[in-house]
Amino acid sequence: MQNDNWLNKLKERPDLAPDPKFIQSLRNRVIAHKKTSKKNTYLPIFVMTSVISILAILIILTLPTAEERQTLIYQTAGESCANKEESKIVGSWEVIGKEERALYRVSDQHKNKIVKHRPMTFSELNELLYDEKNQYGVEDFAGYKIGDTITIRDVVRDITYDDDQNLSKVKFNTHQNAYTLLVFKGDVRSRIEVNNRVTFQFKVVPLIDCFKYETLEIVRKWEEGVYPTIDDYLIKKK
Amino acid sequence: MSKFQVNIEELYDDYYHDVYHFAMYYTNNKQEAEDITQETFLKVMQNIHRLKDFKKRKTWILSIARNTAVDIHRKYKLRQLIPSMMSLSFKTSENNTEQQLLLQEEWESLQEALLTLKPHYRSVIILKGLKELSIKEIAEILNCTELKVRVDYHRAITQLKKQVVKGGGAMHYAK
Repeated sequence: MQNDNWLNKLKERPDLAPDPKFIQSLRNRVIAHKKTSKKNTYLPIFVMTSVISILAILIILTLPTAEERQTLIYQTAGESCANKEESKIVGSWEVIGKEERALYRVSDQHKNKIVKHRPMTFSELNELLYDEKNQYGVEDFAGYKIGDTITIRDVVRDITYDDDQNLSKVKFNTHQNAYTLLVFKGDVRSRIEVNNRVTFQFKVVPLIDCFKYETLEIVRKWEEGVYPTIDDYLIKKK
Repeated sequence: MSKFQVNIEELYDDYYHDVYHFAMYYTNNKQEAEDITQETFLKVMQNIHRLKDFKKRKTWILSIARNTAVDIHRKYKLRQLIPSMMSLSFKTSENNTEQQLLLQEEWESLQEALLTLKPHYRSVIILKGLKELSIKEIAEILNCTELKVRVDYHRAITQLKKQVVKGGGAMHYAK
């Protein structure tokens, strides 16, 4: 089979055209932003320099000491940081490694947010990933750090077992139109049922070794192509 | 603006299709593609002063789109990536006419295989094989040498072939 033939099929795939309403709505935002951003050019220079000076002083004052930096490295190190990938800061992203994985930087406000550790639903877990200061989702569970355990207590909405792959897919409602799906090795239908309120515990681990970005251990395993059993995480059901 | 005047509306009208297509191929998810397109143009507006050479506006926008796609696609993994995996895995079992199913499978198996490639290879295939950008443009977008683009494209095509032969990499979508 020729490469071109393959790719032509993809080029002609359906639903490639964007929704006209979405495109028009975004266009309106672009135009609106253009109009409002013009005002900024008249901001007096001395105000800007003052703000920059104050920010610089604040940054210097809040830089971690050598001891604090050591602690930070220890907390985010994973098993070994001998092969830590290089990273560079590009605007609001940190671009990591040869594959140039770009991740949104996490605001201090989000990192230092105080959250009471208690069992929560997947919907509440997702809310922890939202950085309110920067107004975007980040790879950091507010109020938790690497090594912590997150306890989820939620109601099972659906279970599907795929015999061919010997995998179970367990669904939980996240929002009205979204859901979280956990994938486990084996048939879990003997362990849990739809409408069961179940409790899981997941460990917070580095998304990338030696960096402060967080994920759940189970998600990292999925990314490595490993599907754990439900008993690795299930605490109880009722 | 320093040496040239940029009309942001024109930039949008000229390139929203390219950005959206890249995002659709990269994620195979309409909602994600819209998020990526929106985020890309918000960043374009905020950073337009950094565009030093107007002739490179297309590669500049696509490099933002590519970084944004990598970033947003990862954020979806807990909420929507895994459900997408499921829908990919079970889509072919839905009731379709034979012909529809055949057509769907042709591009879907390719799209699924594309999703199994690592982000860099996926980007190279989309930019060269699907959007038909020049090697020079792709090197600018991916911030690497033209030689690397050529080599990586060849490797990416080889991997894509393997995945299609294997027939179904949906379960490795998260990689």
